[in-house]
Amino acid sequence: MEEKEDMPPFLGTWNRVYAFILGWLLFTMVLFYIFTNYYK
Amino acid sequence: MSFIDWAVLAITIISIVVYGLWKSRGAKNIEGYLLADKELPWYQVGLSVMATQASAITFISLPGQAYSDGMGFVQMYFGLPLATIILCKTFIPIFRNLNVYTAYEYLENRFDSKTRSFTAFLFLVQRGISTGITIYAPSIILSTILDIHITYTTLFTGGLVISYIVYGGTKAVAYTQMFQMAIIFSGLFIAAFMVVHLLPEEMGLVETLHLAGKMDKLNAINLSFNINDPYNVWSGLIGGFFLQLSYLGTDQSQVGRYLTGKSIKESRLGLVMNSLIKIPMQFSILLIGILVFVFYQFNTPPLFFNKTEVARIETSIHAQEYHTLEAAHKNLYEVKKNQAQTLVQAIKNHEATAYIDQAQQELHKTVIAEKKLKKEATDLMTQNDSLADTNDTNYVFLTFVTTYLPVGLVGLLIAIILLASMGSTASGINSLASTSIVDFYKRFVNKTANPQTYLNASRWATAAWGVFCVVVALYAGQLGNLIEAVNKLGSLFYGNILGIFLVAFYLKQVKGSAVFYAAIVTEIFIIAIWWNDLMAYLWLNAIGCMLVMLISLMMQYIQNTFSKVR
Repeated sequence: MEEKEDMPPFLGTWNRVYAFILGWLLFTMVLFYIFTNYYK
Repeated sequence: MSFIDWAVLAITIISIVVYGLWKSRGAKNIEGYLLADKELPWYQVGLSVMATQASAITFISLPGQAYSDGMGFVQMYFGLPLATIILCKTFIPIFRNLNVYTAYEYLENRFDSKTRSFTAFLFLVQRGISTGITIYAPSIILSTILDIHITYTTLFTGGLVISYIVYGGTKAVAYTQMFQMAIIFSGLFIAAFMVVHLLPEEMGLVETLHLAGKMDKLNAINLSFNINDPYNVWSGLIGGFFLQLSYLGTDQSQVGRYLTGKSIKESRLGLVMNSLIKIPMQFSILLIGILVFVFYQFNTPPLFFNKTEVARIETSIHAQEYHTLEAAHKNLYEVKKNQAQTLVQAIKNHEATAYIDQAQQELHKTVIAEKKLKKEATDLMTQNDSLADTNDTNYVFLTFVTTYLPVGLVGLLIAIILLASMGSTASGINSLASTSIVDFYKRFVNKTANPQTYLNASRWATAAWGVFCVVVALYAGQLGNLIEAVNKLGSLFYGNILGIFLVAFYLKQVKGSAVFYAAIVTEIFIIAIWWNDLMAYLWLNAIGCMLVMLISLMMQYIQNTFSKVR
């Protein structure tokens, strides 16, 4: 169990924060893919 | 530079140094000096981590990298978010709960003193040289602008950093970095705006991107797998993951930043912030390089951007040949400019694809001819002097800034580059001092001194490492593209160091001797791979890491088997 003071200030748990980071990475890569191919 | 530029530069630098010194006054022991009393909030931890990584090299080399090779470099940072998750889940809680000053202290708890010392030694070698390179980068600027020999500008930039971190320690590093990042972000925004503003009237941002795309510069994603290509999605995700995990998890210059957080939560949030901002930030800096590239399709670029090398060839017996090449380059530029304009018009008027493709191919042919011409010029420089610096990517952005930006802005952008260098150099020297004092002096030389003795020793170590890094900087000019040089150097050691830490965290059955000898064998192996140029450098991180884990498991197995036989 995580102690209350170690909880993140958003999204409730650290695992959700990590999932958000992964989602952000995926989103960035998709954006870059579109960017690369649109202007090719 | 004009008087106003000098005034902007001086006021920015002096005010930040004075602020850092004022905020960091009163360190009474090494916890205050090396860990800023562990009282920093998450945003300061995050900015400090970012400022440590974003050196002057980032702002000098990255636009130049984009100018010559496009956006592909950004993929190197894809591994960062993945590494951040492992760091937050494993590394931060372990380091914080053990209350360590340096990452290497943990290795003695888990293994033995020889493994701790060997790992700390690898770090000192790698970080000492890398920090020297980060001092060298801004020295080029001052040398080019002031037309003063690079030795004096290196001594000045190195001396500037040493002057405030010897007194203020980690707090001075963190407080100055916070302001440095704020000025850096605003300066980059202004620089991007100015490049677009200086483009020809018919070239808006959309047309600029279309032209850059047709010239193969907007390659932000490359899905094809090639082990010799450092910049594709796979090397970025896998090689980049290992590079970032070892950099942020085992390099004291970074570990020392997030150990200053108030709590585990603040340290984690600082790293999360870094992982979310870093990729867009690097993308934006590369994009500035692309804008500068397009700018130079409509404004005559020099044949070679390094003025010092050009001056040397112009005073040699090859001067006439070089001038002939310059004239040919000028003619080629006019042809290329017309072809670029034709291509942009064709895209704007939505001409048939075949017509656009033909315009693109013609432009492509001229670009190849231009590259050939440049190769002839650099060959001439090498003929003249075999030690000539034939890579001019570090000078592209600087040439643009000093030639085309208005009065005041030049001073601000030069200040940004100097500030960025100060931030990363300060962290580097500070971490070298921490490791020397905590992992060697306190461990082997003087185990039971009073707090004041350790504080004084830390200040002396900071000054000594500062001088060492300046000496390295004086010889850093032969390393080609600086950002690649730093990453290549890191890749020689980082994978190995990371492997040692991963064995410590996850392979509980492996003991000190097995991992120690595995690390030595791995380092020899990695240097051999690099020496024979067998693969792109990013992969060395992954291979080094996996080799240490594998060899240490094998050695432990053999050791256990022999013990049972006895």
